[in-house]
Amino acid sequence: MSNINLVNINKNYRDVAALKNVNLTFERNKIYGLLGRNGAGKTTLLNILSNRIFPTSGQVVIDDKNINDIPKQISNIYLSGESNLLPESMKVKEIFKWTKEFIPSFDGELALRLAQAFELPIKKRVQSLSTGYLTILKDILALCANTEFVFFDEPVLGLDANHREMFYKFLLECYVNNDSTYVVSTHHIDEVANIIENIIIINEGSIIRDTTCESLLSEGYTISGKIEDVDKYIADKNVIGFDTLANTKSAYILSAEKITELPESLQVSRINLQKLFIELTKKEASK
Amino acid sequence: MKISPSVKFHISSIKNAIVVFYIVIVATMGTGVYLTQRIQGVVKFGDISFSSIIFLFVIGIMFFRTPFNMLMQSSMTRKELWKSFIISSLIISAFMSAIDTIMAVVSSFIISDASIVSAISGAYTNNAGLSIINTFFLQLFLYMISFSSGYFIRLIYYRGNNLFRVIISVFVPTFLLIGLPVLETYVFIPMNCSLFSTVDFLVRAISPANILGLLFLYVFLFSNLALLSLFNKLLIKRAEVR
Repeated sequence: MSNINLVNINKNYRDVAALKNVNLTFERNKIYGLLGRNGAGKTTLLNILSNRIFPTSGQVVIDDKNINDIPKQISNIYLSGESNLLPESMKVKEIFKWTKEFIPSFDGELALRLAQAFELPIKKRVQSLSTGYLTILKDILALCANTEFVFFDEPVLGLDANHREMFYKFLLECYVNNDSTYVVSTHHIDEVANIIENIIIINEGSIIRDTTCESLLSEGYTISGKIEDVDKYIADKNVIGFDTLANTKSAYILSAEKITELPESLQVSRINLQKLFIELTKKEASK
Repeated sequence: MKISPSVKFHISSIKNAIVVFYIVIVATMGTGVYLTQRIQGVVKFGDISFSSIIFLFVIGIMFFRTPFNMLMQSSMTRKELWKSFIISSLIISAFMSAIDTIMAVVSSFIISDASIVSAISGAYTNNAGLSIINTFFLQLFLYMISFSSGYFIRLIYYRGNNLFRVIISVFVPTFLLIGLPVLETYVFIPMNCSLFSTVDFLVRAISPANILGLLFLYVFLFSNLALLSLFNKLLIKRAEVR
């Protein structure tokens, strides 16, 4: 099984262009972060990738074949989507049973173990689950699907901090144990920053960044120190934001140049991914 | 292709509805039989097969959304959905036709009313066994057509936008209830070619009074079913998850 390629994908909803000439490749055995503001086109992109909706033009290709409704290709992809497609009247354990029927690679035992860890009541019907537990159910199904490509659309929607941390832990476990590719679309940028290897930023339907996490973070840096020292240093720099606490200040600077002369009173560190994301999407939006 | 789990899912999603339907039918018939023996007068029953046709039409309308969503969630294709619909509708229709035929045979010992389907199927033969087999197959076709029609209507509504749905909802009943009689009265009759007489003539032409007529009837029913299945396939092919 090779990569998934999106070739010149466009998607229009009447007069609105949800995706504009998207070209992407998802390589095997990697974790991708798909980041974008509300309405940027993330969900549309994932729905096209999983054959739930059709592109207006362009194609999704696996092994040089268009995935369009080819069972062999589609069965390699699993999407844990934002909207619920599971039968509302069915119990959680029945959902596990049917998923196992449809997806032979689904690990039912792991699903039960994860349900226990997340305290997901398996005898409850889907309709009676809270938003958080419905998200957990969808996450468990995706984590246990063992398909070659697993897509998560807002996998921590409605989850408390404990459950979010557990999800990231199990995601890494699955990544280590399987030869699968995971794509996580989320607004919790700082939380996934330490997990993802590659970042795709989508803004107003266009891909504005498709690179490694390291490479993206090298586009800027953070300077911290006393307010007056920081202000002096950043006077001629491209500052994209700052935080102040008591008499200390952290400034986020967008610059790919290497830092040469840095006063001793200042410390340099990696730029905050969320700050960088905000700046990148703001700039693109105002173009 | 993973047709088998999909067929199982389709059938299991309406299993309870079928059980409830037959509980109601048996309870109604039981009450009727009890009353015929307790009160004076005659208790007449409607047609079981006709009830099944209406029931399957309604089930057809309800049969799309849940399996479609579940199959899309489970990385299945639309082609698999369409195939599994055909197989499951065949299984369900055959099962219900068999039950209805048995019930019709059993009830014929108690109640003399013949169903419409058994009256048609018995028209070409006096052999009771052949008539029963014929009833089974006629019902099977009619049930599948009814099932597929409900499914077809649901698909049209699913695929269409709001304006299209309103147009279909208003136009079709208005055309059938008002438009056709108006056309008949003011257009066809003045032209000496009554529309209803033509339809009546066609229905009589396919009357199964002989083996050729019966074969023609089966070909006609099969063509209808094939056409509906083709339309359903075309509608499913580009259906998107909402």
